[in-house]
Amino acid sequence: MTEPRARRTRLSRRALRVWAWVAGGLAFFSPWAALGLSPKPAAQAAQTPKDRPVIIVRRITRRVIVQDVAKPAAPQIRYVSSGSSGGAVAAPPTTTTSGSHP
Amino acid sequence: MDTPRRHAFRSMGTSVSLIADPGSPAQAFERAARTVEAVFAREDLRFSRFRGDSELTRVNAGAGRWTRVSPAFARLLAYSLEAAARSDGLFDPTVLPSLIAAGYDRDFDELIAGARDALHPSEPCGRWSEVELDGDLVRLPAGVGLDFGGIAKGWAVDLAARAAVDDGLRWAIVNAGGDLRIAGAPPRDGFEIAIDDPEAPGHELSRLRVARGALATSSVTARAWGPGLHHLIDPRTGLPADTGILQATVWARTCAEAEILAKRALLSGSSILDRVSSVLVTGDGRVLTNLDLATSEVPA
Repeated sequence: MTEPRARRTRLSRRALRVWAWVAGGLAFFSPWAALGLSPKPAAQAAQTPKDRPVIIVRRITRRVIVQDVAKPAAPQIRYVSSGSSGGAVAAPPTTTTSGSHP
Repeated sequence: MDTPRRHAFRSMGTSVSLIADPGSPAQAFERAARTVEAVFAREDLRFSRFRGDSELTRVNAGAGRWTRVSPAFARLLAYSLEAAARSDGLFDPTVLPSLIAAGYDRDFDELIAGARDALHPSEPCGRWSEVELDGDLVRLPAGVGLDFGGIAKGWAVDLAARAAVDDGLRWAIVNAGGDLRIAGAPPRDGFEIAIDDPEAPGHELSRLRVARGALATSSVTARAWGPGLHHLIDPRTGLPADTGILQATVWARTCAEAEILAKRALLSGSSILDRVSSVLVTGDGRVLTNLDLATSEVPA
């Protein structure tokens, strides 16, 4: 007499449903994961601002004084800050200067 | 300070804005805005090399023979030739053949739409000393073309800013693509002007507080259409400049002068810091300036 073959255990409907959801979710999100892990193109990487060292160069070797009362005095330029990082949110500038953007 | 009044439009291939005292009457501001637009339209018709109907196109087409020009054209040409002499040719209004050879042969909006993949051989520059100007008559050497470039924009900014104040504004700033002029009686503390990072447009590199005069910025990263291809020609080589300076922001009394000095700063490197209030950004990531962080000392 032969022994009755042991019956393979079948997953329950609930377990099958869980596996189906997990597999579907992985398939759905895998393109985003691949995109996130791939290196950024150089052009995009260059858009992030650098932390630039500011070097004050004291190279004023001569000073020309024009004795003409009709002309205004020396330019009133004052360096305010360097870099955009920092805790406090600065007030927006009045306007911006940049290299001839179209 | 209350939010200033603003009016923006496009001209000379760039965005132009009028910024004015918030306390100015609305009528005066509207009048000034119309005036500023009219000034730019007039100067574009005079100095654009991309328009077949411009005075500059007519003068360039007449190279080799005497051509009659308007008094304003003669004034800007005289100013440009004098700037070329002062800078030993570092500023050169006759770089047009080199600029075209480098690929900047059409309006910039068209240029970036269709990329050029071949660089023509460079053309010789430095023929500004052969340009003849006699009153309202001009003669360019055969084969030479004028390109005022940014100086014409700076010139228009100066005219427009003064005209805006004449229209009844207490103070006005006219900013054309980053070249700006302050006119009138500004607030006691002046204005905070942000300098863009040349490698990250839209991000502030630093700020300057400016009470009068003009600022101009020249950059080799703006108006570039390929590796090493940009609109700033080095007259010594006839090729787009490659001096290790990415961007130069310069203060001067007028915007036209600031434009000339900013170009010179890009071409002569950090030696410009001997003479001119400026902020330079180098290709290796440094910022060089002669404006003192600690004492706010202003170089003369």
